[in-house]
Amino acid sequence: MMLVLQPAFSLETTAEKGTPGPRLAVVFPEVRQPFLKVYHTIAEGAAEGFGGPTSQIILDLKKPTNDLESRIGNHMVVALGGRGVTQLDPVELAHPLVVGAVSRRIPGVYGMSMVPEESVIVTKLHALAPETGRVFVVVRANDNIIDLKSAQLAFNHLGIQLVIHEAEDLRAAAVIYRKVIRTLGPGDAVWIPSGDRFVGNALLSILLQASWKSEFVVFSSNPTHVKRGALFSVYPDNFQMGVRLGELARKVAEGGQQQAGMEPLQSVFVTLNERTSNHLGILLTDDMKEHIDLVLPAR
Amino acid sequence: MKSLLSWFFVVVPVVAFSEAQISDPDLEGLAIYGDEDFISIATGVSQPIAKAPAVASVITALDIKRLGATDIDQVLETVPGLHVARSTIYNPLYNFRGIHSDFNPQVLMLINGVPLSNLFHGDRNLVWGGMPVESISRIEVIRGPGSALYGADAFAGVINIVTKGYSELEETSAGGRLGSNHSADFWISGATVAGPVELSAMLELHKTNGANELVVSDGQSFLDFVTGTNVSNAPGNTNLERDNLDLRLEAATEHVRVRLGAQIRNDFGEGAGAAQLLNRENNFESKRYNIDITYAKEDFFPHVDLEVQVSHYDTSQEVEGDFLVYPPGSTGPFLTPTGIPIFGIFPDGVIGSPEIFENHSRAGFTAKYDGIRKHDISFGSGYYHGEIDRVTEEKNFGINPVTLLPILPGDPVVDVSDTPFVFLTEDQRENTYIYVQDVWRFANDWELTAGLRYDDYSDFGSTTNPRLALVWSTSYQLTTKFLYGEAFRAPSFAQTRAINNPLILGNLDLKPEEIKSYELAFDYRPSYDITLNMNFFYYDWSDIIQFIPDSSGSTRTAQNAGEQNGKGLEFEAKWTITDSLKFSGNFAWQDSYDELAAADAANSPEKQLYLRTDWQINNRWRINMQANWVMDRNRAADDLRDPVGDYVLFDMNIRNKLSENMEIALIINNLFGEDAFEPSPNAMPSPFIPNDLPLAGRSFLGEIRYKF
Repeated sequence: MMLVLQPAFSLETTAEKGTPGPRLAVVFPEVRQPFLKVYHTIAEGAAEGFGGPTSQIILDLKKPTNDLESRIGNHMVVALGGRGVTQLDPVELAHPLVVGAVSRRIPGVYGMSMVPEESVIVTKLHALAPETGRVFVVVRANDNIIDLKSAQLAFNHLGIQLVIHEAEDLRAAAVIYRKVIRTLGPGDAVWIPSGDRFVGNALLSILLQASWKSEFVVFSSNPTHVKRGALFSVYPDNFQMGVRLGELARKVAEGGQQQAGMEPLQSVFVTLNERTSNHLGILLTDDMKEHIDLVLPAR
Repeated sequence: MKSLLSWFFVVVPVVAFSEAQISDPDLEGLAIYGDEDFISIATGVSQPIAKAPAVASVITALDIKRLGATDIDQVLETVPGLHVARSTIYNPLYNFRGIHSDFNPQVLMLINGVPLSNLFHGDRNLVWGGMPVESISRIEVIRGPGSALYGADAFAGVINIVTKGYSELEETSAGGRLGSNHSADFWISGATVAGPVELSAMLELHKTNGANELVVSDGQSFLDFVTGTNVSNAPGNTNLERDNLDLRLEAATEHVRVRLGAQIRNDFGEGAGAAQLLNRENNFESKRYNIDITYAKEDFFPHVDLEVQVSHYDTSQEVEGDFLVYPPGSTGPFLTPTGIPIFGIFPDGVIGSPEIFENHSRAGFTAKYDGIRKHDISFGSGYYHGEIDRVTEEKNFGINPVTLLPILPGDPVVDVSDTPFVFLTEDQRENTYIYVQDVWRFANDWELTAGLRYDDYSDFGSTTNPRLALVWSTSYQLTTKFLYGEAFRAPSFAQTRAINNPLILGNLDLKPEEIKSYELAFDYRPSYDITLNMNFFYYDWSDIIQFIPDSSGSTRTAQNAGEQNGKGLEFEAKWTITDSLKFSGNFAWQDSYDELAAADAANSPEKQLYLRTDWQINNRWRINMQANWVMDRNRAADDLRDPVGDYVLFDMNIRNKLSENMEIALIINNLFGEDAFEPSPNAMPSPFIPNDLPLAGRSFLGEIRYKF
């Protein structure tokens, strides 16, 4: 805890040790709990993945960060969260920046987004609702939050047909949803993907009521939807994400990582709604339970 | 590249989430979690709460803080169908659904699964002194019987207190309060890691002079009237002085958790009097220590999750100095049927200083097996040994054990400990139990829970208690539950083994009290912002142990005398109007009938309405207001007083978050200074405290809490 509260002190300590090789600083904003715990866990993972001296710099968002450059020195930097990244904007860094815990894939930087790789969620769907033959998704036209091509490939690989609908705006999306859900039944599924901006409370309620009635699966990239009746969702395994960011930082520092780019999230946890799985008659086998990390109990 | 990044985060709006979603720009990237509740679960700060297939309420630490509650009773009063009445020493009487008794042993209170029930009265300890809330992670309250799972005393309701562990105490924090009646609270908590062990600790201190509310007339006033003396301290004030220390320590590894607790109560003022007589010099103390070691491992065997717990609980009820049952100059309760004093005046008062020391040891296990399709089977067994290992008494009445002659007024106090003339027999009780429960998902949307528990007691025999719960996910929005349960309440040692007591006498032939209960419950969520719960219940409570007045008039003896049945409903609504404004409330109605008296059951409110709003005005300010309306409390059939007056209490809690680390609050209880009373017991020929037990008037508390 002292390490966290006194980042400058911790940096000096590691410098004094004179450890050879690159050193890592994980920079993230000071946010309230429980959010801070996410950054801490990622930072702990990063330390393990980096395999060298690592310190944490917590940014007070209300104060100017004039001394940030001197605090960072020639450390390799992993910045967490959108605000963590913008705070580093004016800072001249000795090494390319590695970015983590942001909601989008940013072109041209090293890092990892909080958006899970499409194949991950497809695998989970196949494990938890193996009867699924068709998946419907409504996306914003020209949106690039999810990689539809790789999603299509991943679904097809498991023999699942992915039906993509594009909508310009919320009104158009609502019309599509209303039309589509009338045609769905057992063996079908609706995917609410990462960064979805269409499915608000009203539409979610319509969708989940229809899924209850017609017994099709709704799975979402927003865990809150599971609380409300979607079958399952995924959320980041923060420690493993940190490990990967640390490994990436090590590679970048050593010049081993050629191409800049954001990796999608690979390590996820799964949360499942027990009431919905019981309604759908899903009998959780041992194999299925291996895929589930958190069961939201029936009410 | 840097400017590109800036542009990205400035012009691309953070994903627009609906209400209660994470929308703070500082938290960009974490919106993936959906809402704050989920992130607390995902980071291990809180757990998803599985409600038992029962009518249950769960109150979290956050709810407690927002309420502005400083004692667990303030939290429990908000639970539908539960009213916290008061005994004459102002101990809480948790009245569930019209079930009221003098000592309230019909409610099982547990801390981390370990019962707090004392052998003496079956209550939480006569010198209870309240329970502070800062160390509480959550409180789970089950209305209705639960003996099929919890065993004895899970009768009218079960209150399980779960204390905070490492994840909730990770940030070192401290706080304090100052306020009315010279009240002062202080608490400090912290946690650390030592190798594979997570250690956490919390200390809470509470000191107050207590509310000074007027008691117009007491038991001595009546004696003064009959005997011509004039020594009553009434009119006088209640004595609710408290000096409490609560300590909780926990050490946890992946599979083993060791918890230690201490509750020390000093200078405990006796309210309106244990013998219903005011005397500010009477003070009591209690020391309670507990330890439990819990081992839990999933897949201990294939498909078997195992939990083993051993625990020990040590309690005392002690007197500071002498306990003046009747004041100097009183005749005491020793009168002939015509009201003539038998011994005359006691110049030093009637003194009896009873002390009791108990210990409770438990060992048990629960195994959960999910290897059969559609079934979750739980199986458990355990052993309990409880003992009142020391009873002491010094008194200046009764029989002198040395001379075998009556101790007369003016004689010195005599130590009658370890003699046949002490007020209670030292004794022990053993209990072994075995239970099995199956949760069977026999069709989509249907789940049947069937449980059976067999208990064998060394002193009153065996009892078997079943329960059935049928849960039907009726629609996307509605869940329906049909519940049946039976429960038993073990006779307390005061009811079986009290002897030589000037007020109550025991009866070794008592059987346990029994209850059968039927419930129909609905959980309806018409939208994501509104939750509605409603339930109907009927219960039949039999073999009720009551202290029935003896023909002498001054003592009462325990008998399986009573029978009561009741019906009612509870309705609860929660409405999240906006992300920052929440409204909740509940209404409870019960109609209980005392078969023995052939009259409506006494003392519990037949109607209760509770309303609450919680408004987060901005990032700094938050205000919580609540109103609790207690209505229609009947008198006992032979009590000629007017019905107990209704009351409405308003409480307010205003909080200001000065920074991420510091928060201050102003807590005002009984905002409008309502004159509120809880019923005092009836007595023949007239109640000792005829004007009931006054509750605290308006009080103010200032609070500050700091995270290091």
